Amino acid sequence: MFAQETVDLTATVFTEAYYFFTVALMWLLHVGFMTYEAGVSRRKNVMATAIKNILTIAVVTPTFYYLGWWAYFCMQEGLLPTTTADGNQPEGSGFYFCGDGYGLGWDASMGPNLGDNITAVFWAAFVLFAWTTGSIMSGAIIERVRTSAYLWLTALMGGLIWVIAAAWGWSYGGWLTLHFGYHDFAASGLVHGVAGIFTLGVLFNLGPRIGRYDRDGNARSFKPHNLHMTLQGLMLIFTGFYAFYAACLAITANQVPGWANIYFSPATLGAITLTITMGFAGGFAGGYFFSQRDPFWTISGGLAGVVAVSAGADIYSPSLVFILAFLMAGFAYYVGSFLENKMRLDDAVGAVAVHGFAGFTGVILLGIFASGYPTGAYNVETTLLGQLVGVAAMFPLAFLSGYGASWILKKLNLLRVLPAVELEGLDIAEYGEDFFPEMGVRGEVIVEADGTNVPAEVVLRQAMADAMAVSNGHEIDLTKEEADDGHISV
Amino acid sequence: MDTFPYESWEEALADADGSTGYYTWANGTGSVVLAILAIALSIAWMVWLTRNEAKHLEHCAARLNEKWGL
Repeated sequence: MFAQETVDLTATVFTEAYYFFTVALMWLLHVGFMTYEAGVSRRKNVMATAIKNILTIAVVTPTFYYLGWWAYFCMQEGLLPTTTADGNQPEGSGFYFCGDGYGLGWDASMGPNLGDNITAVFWAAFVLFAWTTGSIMSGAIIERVRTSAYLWLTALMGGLIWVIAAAWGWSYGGWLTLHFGYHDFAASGLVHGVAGIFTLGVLFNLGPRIGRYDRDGNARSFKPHNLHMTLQGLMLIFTGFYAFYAACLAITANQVPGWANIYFSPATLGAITLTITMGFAGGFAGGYFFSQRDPFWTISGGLAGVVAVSAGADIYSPSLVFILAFLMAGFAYYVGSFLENKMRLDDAVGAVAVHGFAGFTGVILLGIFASGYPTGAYNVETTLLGQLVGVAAMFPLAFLSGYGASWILKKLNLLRVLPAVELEGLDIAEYGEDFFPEMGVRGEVIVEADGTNVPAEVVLRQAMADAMAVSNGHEIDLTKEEADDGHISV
Repeated sequence: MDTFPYESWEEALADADGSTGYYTWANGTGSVVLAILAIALSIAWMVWLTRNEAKHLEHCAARLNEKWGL
């Protein structure tokens, strides 16, 4: 008896430690997002970009603690909370419940409880997922969104919107799980897809950065101030991805194979290790091929590839993973180009294509390549129809909430920084300081649609004059001398 | 302020049955009040940040527009 108690306690402590260290390693995702986005931004916006990422933690954490965790357990049956203690709990399971205070900020489950080692570390894994949704949006809207607007939006998405999707399709008792066998192991749809499509809704209201498109609507390119920092950031994100995958597993020490996915269907750490590694390999190769050696899309292709195969990371064949990741890297590249050039959506990091469209497409692909797998306690078969229903539920949830919330902020004049501030740069305006005095201010270069490099001063001030002419109803035409008068450093 | 609800750790461990087992002010009025205060602080901080940023940006834009004659 004593020996059994020791074994049980050891298993409990191992589980607690396992989640704790996945959380610690998942911080690398956010180090990576911050580094990546700061590298992509122009020199005048580096600090404002990085601070935005850091403050994500300040707002999403309490929002998720006080609202999101409760919503995860109580909104598994739809948009209205379940109020009965066993309303969505598979009979006799004893796992998830709602209505008796579990998960609320003042409940014994949410504090230093000597009888519960697991809830807090499991919560922490979820809060890291929540930060990730915010960070996915963060990069797309840099250099013109207000810090406060971003924080309201990320609190909504990280604290509630993705949680609703998770309650529906990433839980033991969610309606998508129980009725449709919805299968999304590492959150292709409910983290990446939801965050990407929420961002799409925001971009419609936010608009492009000043000068991003010429008068004919052709896209210009803004050069990252530090491409090495950008690539390093992405590599950190990839490292954190392994921990993200690992945190999607549950330890079932008393049942072979010892691990289960979040639906409590059997899985192994080995299987997901194969998937993520083969996924990156296929994604990098596909990104390099389809983009014709473009460095940004080569490495973003790796991300798109893994995002797309994450839904089936516990069950896919590694060879299938490699092929799908290769193709999905190309898919993300073409979708990203379409959004940029045809839709004129200024997504600074390609997040909508890489996370939103690749994520939801990955959910559908699972219905094609892995239907028939039983999901959850009741062994509900995964089907293409079930996966499509999941996408049909989550896509509008994400888009409408992102569009609606950003529309309200826009109407309140709280969404975007003022044009003059955007032109001068957010670091000086927001923080009153040049954070890189050791790096001399050099003339910024913009790449025109035809590939020629031109000085940014003239282009950006003319673009701003165009914007003000629209709002004021009269034409402003800057001379070259006015643009070069040295008052501003763009 | 004595917030330890037991006489000893032994007593706390004996109560650690997965339901309550030592959580400062757990399920009591105190924990609810603390949660409300923390939520209020979080919202107030967001409102302050929003208003402060808006004021700051207006000031900066006015300065720049005057400088550039726009």
